[in-house]
Parts: sequence; C-alpha cells; structure tokens
Amino acid sequence: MDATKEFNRYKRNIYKVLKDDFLKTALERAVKAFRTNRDAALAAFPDVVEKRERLQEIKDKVIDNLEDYVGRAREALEKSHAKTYFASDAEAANEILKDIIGTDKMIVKAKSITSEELEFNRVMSDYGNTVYETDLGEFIIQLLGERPMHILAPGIHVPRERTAKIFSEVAGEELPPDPEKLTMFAREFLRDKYFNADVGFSGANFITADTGTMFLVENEGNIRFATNAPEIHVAVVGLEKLMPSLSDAMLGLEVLMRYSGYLVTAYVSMISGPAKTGDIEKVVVYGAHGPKELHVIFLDNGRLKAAADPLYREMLRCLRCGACMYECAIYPLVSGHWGYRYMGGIGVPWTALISGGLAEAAPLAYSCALCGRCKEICPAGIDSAKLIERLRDDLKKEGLVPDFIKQMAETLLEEGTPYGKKDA
Amino acid sequence: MAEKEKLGVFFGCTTAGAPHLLAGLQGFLAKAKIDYVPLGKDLCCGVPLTLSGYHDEAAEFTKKVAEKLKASGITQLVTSCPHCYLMFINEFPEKFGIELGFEILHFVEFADRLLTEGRIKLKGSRDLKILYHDPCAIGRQGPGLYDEPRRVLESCVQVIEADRNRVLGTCCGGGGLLRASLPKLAVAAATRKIKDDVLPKGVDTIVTSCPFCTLNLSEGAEEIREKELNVFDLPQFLSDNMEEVD
Repeated sequence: MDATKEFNRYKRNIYKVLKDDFLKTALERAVKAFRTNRDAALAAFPDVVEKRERLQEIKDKVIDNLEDYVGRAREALEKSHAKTYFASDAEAANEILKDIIGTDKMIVKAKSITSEELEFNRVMSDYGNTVYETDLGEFIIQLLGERPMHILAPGIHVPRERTAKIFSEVAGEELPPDPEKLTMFAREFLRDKYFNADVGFSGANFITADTGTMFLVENEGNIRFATNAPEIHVAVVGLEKLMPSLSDAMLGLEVLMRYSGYLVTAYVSMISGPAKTGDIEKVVVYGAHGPKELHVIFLDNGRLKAAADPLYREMLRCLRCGACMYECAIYPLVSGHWGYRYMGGIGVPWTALISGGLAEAAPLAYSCALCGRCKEICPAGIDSAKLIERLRDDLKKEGLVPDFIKQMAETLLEEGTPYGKKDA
Repeated sequence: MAEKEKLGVFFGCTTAGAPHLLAGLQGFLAKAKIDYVPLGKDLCCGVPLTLSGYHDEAAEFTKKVAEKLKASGITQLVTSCPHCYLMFINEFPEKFGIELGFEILHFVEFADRLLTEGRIKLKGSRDLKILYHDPCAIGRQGPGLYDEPRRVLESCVQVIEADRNRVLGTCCGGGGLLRASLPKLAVAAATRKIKDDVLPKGVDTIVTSCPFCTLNLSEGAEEIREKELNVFDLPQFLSDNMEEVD
C-alpha cells in the first residue's frame, strides 16, 4: 500500500469531517454529558481511584500469563457444560461461528466491538443468516449501513432527525424526531425478534478464569434478552477480557462503570454456563428457561503477540470505558473517523496489532498530538501517546512513512532544521 | 552567576522561524541584560526525528547537536521550547547516551529564578487578566513545571485558571507533529480548546510557554469570531511587561 496515497485519502476525509456541523453539535453534547456523569460517578465513589491501581496490577498479571488464564477459564466453562473454542484469528473465529450457527438462522446480537474484528454482521449475512443489532445505537447504525463512531455510544454522530428518518422508512410511517418515541419504536420492532431468533450473540466485558463467568454490562436490557431468550448463546471474547477470579472481575466492574460515567448500570449479567434444572428427580436437563447451549470462543487475533511486547502489552489493559476519548483534544472533533474498528488514541495500536494492520494504522498514528492527557484519565493507566510513538517507529521500519514525514526528515538532516534554511 | 559561568540560549528552530517569538525572547534577554551565547537558531534539537521513527538518523544528528553545544563552552543552557527541553533532559541521556554535562533549564524556570533573585522587574497590572495554558511537554510529559510560570505571571498580572489545567489541561493540538501532518485538525483543536477553556472565563489574553502552543493557539484564535484574542509566548509577554535592567 502506498503510505502517502493512503494518508492523503485519510486527510481528505478528516478535513471533510471537520466541516460537518451536525457531527460537531452531536459530539459536543455527548462530551459534555459524559464528563458531567463521570465526574459525578467518581465523586460519589472516591475509592475507585485506589481500585484502579489494583486493577492495573491484576490486568498486568493476566497479561503476563494469558495462555494459562485462557486454559483455566475454558476448563471452568466446560465443567459447567459450556463448549469452548480458541480462535487464533478472525478467520478462524468465523469458521467456528459458521459451524455453530449454520445457515438460514436468525441472530439477535448484543453490542460488541470485538465482533467488529470479525465483521460479524457481514460474514453472517453472507452465510445466509439474518442479524439484528439490538443495542439501540448499533440498531440505528445497522439500518444506516454505517460503522460505529464510538465504543460505548456507536451512534454518537447521528442526530435525532436522521434516526427519525431511517426509523420512519422501516416503520412505513412518519415518526417524529423524539428520542422517547424513537426508542419505543425500536423496542416494539425488536421485541419478538428475541423469541424468534435461533441464536443470541454477545461479547463480554470480563470473563473469569476461576469460574468461567462472563460479565455483561448494560443499561438497555437488550443483552439480557439476546443472551437468554434464544436456545443458543454464542459469545466471542477477546483474551484481554480475562480476569483471575470473580472478585477481581467485581473490582473491574466497579472501575468500568464509574469511568464510563455510571454510578451503577441498570444490569450486569453473569453467565457461566447454559441454563439447567434438576428439579425433576435430580435429573439434570439443560435449557430450562435460558439457552440450551452456550458456546464461548476465545479470540487471540494478535493479542498474544501484543502481550509478548514489552511496550504494546499495555494496550491489553483497556476496559473500553471510553473515558480517554472525552478528554482527548482530537477525538471530539472527528469521532471514529480517527480510527478503523477501534478508534481514538488507544484505537491506533489496536488497529495496528489487532484489527486492521500496520498500513491501516499508519495515517491514524499521525493524528495524535502525543499530549498524554488520556493516560491521566485512563483507569488502566495506558499511555497511548507512548504506544503511538512506538508505532511510528514500526511504521518507519516497515516503510510506511508518508512523504511529508520523509521530506521533513530529509530537510532536517540536510539543512539542520525541519523548516530548511531561512536565508534563501 | 559566578564569573566563569557561561549561559547558552537555545532558541530552537520553531522560535527562530517565527519573527515575533524570536524578537520576544531576544527582547527579554536584552532588557534583562543577560549575556548569552545564542544557539539553536539554525539547528534543530532532533525531536522531529525521534517522533517519526528515525532513530538511527536521530542518534547521529543528536551527536552533532551535542558536539556543537559542548564546543560553545557553556555551563548552563536555557531554552523556551518545551520539546527541545525534553529532548535535552530525557532523550539525549536515555535514548542516545549523551550526557551534556551542563545544567538545562526551561525558560519558565529561568525567568522564575531571575525574578526570585531580583534580577528582573516586571510591570503590569493586577487588573490585566490572562489565562495560562500549560504546555504538555513541560507539564505531564516532563517534570511538571506548573508553579514556575504562574509565580512569574502572578507578579505582574492576574492569572486565571482554566477549569482543566496543569496535569489535566487540554492539549492545544500543536504537538506530536500534528501541525505538520494535519494542520487544520491541529488548529481546530486549538479553537475548540479556546471555546471551552478561555471564552467562559471572559479573558482575552492567553499566555503559554511553548512556541508550538503559541502558534497553534494563535491560529485557533483567528477562527473565533466573537472575540479578539491575544496569544503570547511567555518570553514575549514578559518582554512587553518588564522594566529595562540598569
């Protein structure tokens, strides 16, 4: 790939985005609301600051021994009658998913950025299945045929008028740009899908090694339906979601909630196996009221490689709380356009090592002012600026440096300053 | 300063390339009657190389920079550029194994010392309100030089704080080579910062301690229609607000 051409294409898009006043308004509203909520959550639970330090230690311990923790989590899940898999990359994960799900099935899906690595919706549709995003933001994005622009609020960039327009098309009647009415439409539209679906699909916020318990954190209630109503629940979990024990995951949960701006979320589902009962003569029957089958796919897709690197390993601490994005000087101007599947500053190394690749990450690496503000708010203490600086080293080694950098370096080396001689 | 000590001033290519910033720093030094060896007007510290992965080239280049600095016989070096400053105090020894062997000060430390020692006299008015913007490189990326510039400024004007300042200050968007890669994005970040931090405070003067911040915030301020804003680098601002030393 021509690094300069790619950079220029990216630059044109960023400059176009800068002129989008609708986006600007939507983002500023979101940033303001989020900051207010987060400050309130941190003020109400000041002990979270100490907890975040413990969390970093726990995360680092897991990152040191990822394979060991995967093994233990799989063992625990299998013991609870779940089926587990290990996928080394997205393609492998998709093959496993095709085997489990098959074709001509209806899938209700919880929000999962990990599923973006797999291009889950496209792959499953191409395989003859129908996928319904059930998170409201994701549902809007899916109808619009766009991609998420934020990890927590995927539709952060969509003003209510656009949502009303696309919902009206689906409803076949005019719906007003009223958030409450639009939400009720989505609720009614999706309601029967949960019960008619063959498969519920989700990610997980945490998964514990000691019990194989997945933590799914949400407010809408869609994840409960999607993971509980269908007969089969399939989850894809990135290796970085591993936590040693239930109590560690509880600590992580508190930190995640507070830094995502919630005193507490409406729901946390903890799932450790398929539904079962022994109420009739102690004969164990699976699929009592919840799913009959639980399949958990552990996804590597570059994570083990990242874990082995003394610097990049830090990125695996990310909880995806999104706090960094709201303090960033750059993200609120362009949202997920600075990103690929993962976005913002932390999204740059994630794009390079996990989902996208070096070439895809190259233009993103030159969009950061390297100011280090994100590290101060990050509950996991990730220094994204340092990771991006390191990535720029790798881009140079791989010959993916755009021309403006080459020219600057050449001028500097020949004339002593990057601006060249001024007496000319 | 003892007789045998010799002060070098490293202007840095960004300050040297902006006439008003250069004049500001030179004006300050002249008014304070500081004897110094001018350095780094046509010599970069090498930071653009380290920020873009040119490490082998940077190793060679910084060696040359170090030779020149040492050859000047200085015993102390002052720079007003936080990026040059970080290169000299961190990258030179840590990445390139270069010990410069003399004291390195950022301008905010230098001005603070001069003020404490009574060697400069600032004039101004407590009625004049300025907002101080913390440059990232001497703040959270560096040794946290937050008090020094405030002490100096407080001695002549009233310093207004942004809601987010010091270690939590919002970046102006001017670092990390962003002004080279996506200049409009860099300036948009500055405009946004001014709208968030400065306008609500009813202040029309911003002072900072970094040529990149100064240039980027100035360009960002031009995009703001509702108010005429002035942006100054600290040396420039002090030079305009000091008595000439006898």
